Amino acid sequence: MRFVKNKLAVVIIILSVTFLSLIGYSANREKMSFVENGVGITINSVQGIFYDGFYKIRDSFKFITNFSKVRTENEELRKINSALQGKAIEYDALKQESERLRSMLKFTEARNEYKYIGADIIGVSGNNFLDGFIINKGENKGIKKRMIAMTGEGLVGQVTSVGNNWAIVQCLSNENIAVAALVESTRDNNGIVKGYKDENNKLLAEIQRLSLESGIKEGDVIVTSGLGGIYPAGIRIGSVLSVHEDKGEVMKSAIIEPYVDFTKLEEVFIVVPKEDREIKY
Amino acid sequence: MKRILTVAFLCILFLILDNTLMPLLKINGVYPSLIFIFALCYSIVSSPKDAVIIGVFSGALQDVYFLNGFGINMLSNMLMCVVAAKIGKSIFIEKSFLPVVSSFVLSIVKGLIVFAILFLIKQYTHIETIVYSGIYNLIVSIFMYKFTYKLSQKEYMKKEWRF
Repeated sequence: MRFVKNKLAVVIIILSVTFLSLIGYSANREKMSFVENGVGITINSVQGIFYDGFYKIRDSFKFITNFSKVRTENEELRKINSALQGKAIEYDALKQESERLRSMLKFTEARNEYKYIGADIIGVSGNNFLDGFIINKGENKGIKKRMIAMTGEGLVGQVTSVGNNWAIVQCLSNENIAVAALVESTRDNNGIVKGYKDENNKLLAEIQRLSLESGIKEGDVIVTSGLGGIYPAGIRIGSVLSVHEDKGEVMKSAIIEPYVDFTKLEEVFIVVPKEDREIKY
Repeated sequence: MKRILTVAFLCILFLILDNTLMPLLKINGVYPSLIFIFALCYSIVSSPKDAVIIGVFSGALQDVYFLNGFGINMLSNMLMCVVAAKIGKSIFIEKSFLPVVSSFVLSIVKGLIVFAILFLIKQYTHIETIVYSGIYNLIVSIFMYKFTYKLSQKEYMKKEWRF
């Protein structure tokens, strides 16, 4: 057996089999191992500084190249600012009033069964193959796999692996995330939103499985429907760019432009249900 | 010892740059992978045994920040690095043309392996990005190979691994 004598080939084959079984084992686990966790925590401390630094450099670079634009923008903003200041005072008064009224009526807020945890993005993950972010909060703040990440603008994605004080969020732009969605104008709630990339590699999303009778049209707003009950209904996802009909599968689908720009995220909120129960989609 | 430390340090540095700087230099939605190119270039100028070690090590680092399935990068990087080391044996490593071309081909093959494994664990990705990132990797490897070749000519890099 000349083959067995070739030590390197044997080592490679053994390692390959080991890695394949490791992939199979780790693909569906709930929590990452302590080794990954430890390595991640160590590297993250340096990585966070790098990420912030590069982000700032890019921003200041943009400032230099767009200097004339920045100046006109500054003037416009000053005008808007004075107008807004007036409104802010009005708003404060109204807010206090509404708080008083709310406590009087014992108003139960529709979404208070969820907690929102703010997290900073400290890196990008996925090496081109998948789009994701590394965030700086993890299990210690109650984040678990399959929880939802959002910003003020709309839905971002889903947590796919969790370490002690860090986690990885997979973006909506991947095909692997499915979100139950609703068309706001027609109230069709049988849609499923998945990631989509157009021919220019622009990150978009697609709503599928709408019935053929659906009156969805360009410009419609897509929001989460809350079916499944894990994350709040009414998180905005995006607006419809174009509608397609698939007679073969008897469904309508539409391309959506997400409100969130996945290339410009700096922080996200993780939605944590207060009731402790199994998270499953 | 100094050799191991140098390689390990460079790997971690390139990993951090991959996760922070490279996404800001995106062209058409893709960015190059410095750590993978470094592992390939280093394998070309060293022995197959070293190639296995650096492939597994760089793959493990990448896998910590990969989304799903630990081991995908370890497996694909190891195989690619071994092939790279075999290529390095049969060409003149002083000229950088063939190493650069082979790292382009290998990065596309790696993309296909990762795509296939992700497909098997039901994670769907876009296959077109593999070609784009291959081209981007080609450009990076022109500079990376020169750097790695010069590094491998240094006195402390020439000793064998001892363990």
